[in-house]
Amino acid sequence: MNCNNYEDKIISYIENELTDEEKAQFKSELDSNTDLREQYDEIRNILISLNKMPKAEASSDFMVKLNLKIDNHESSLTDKIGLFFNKIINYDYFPQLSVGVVSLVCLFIVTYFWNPNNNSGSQIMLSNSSSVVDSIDHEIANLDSLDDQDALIILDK
Amino acid sequence: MDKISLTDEELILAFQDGDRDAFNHIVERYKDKLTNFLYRFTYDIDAAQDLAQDTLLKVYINKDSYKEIAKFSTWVYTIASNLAKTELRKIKRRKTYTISDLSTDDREFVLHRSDIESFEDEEDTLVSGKILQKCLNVLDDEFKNIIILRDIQELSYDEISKILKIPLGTVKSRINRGRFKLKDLLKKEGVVLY
Repeated sequence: MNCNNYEDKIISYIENELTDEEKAQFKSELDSNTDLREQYDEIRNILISLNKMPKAEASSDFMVKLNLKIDNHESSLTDKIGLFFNKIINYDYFPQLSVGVVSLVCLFIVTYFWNPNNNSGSQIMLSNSSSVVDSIDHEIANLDSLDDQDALIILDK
Repeated sequence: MDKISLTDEELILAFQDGDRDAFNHIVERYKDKLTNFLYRFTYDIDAAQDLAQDTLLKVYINKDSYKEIAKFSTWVYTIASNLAKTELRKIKRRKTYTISDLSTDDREFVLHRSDIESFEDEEDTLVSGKILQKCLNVLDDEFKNIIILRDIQELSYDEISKILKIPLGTVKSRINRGRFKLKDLLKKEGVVLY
C-alpha cells in the first residue's frame, strides 16, 4: 500500500465510509503495519484535538449590540427617504421637479393627439366625416322619393 | 406557539411573515456557533463577534432572499464565510502594511500579540489549542475554511459543498489534503502526534 492509499484508507475509516469487510481488513492491517498505525494515530489525534478546541462564545451584550446595528440600519434607511422628501418640500429640488413634471405633461399631450395608433384623436375626425356622408345619403334618398313632376319644379326653380 | 421546538427553517419562515420573536430565536441559536466559526478565521474575539453580528444583520435585512429549497444553516454559513473571507483579506493587507513599517522590536511584538490575547487555555489534549490555531492560520485559505467547517463546526460534506459552491468530491479530497497538511505543519512545530 503506498502513501496515498494510506491517506485515503485512514480518512475513509475515520469517516465510517468502509464496508464491514474493508473495516476488518483495515483493522488487521493497522495491527501489522507500524507505518499505517503511526499515520492513523496522528490524524486521529489531530481530529480529536480540533474537536476539543475551546469554543469561543458570544458575549452577554451580543443581542444588545446586534439590535443597535439593526436600529442604525433602519434609521439610516428612514433618514435617506426622509431627507429626499425634505429636500422636495424645502424646494431644493423644486426647479428640477417642475421642469420634469411640465415635460411629462407635454409629452403625454403630444403622444395622445399625434400618435397614429391612438384612436381617440382620429375617431373625432372619422365621426365628423361619417356624419357628412350620412347627410349626403339622406339628400339622395329625398331626391329619389320625388316624382318626375316635382323634379321638374325643382329644376325650374 | 413554542418556538423552541421549531426548526431553523420554520423560524425563518415565521420571521418572513413578520414574527420578530422568531428572529430572536434564530440569534440565540446561532450567535455562539457563528462567533466560534469566525473566531477560527480572525483569531480575534471582538472581530469575530462583530462579524457574527454582521452575519445576523444580513439575515435580518435579506430575510426574504431565503428560499426553502436550502437548509437555513447553509445559508447562514455562506454569509458568514463570505464575510470572513473579506475580513481576512483586510487583515492580511493591514498586516503587510503595518509590519513592514515597524522596527524590529515592534515586529516581534505584533507577531506574538495573538498568542498573548488568546483566551485558549491548555486542554487535556495531545495538541494545544494555541498551536492548532497557529497552524490553522498558516494553512491556505481553501484548506483552512474546509477544516473549520468540517472538523470544528461539524457540518456535513453536503452542506460544505453548498456553502463553498464546490462539488462533493472536491470537498472530500480537499478535507483529506487539508488534514494531512495540518499534520505536516504541526510536526514542523515539533508536536509529537502519537
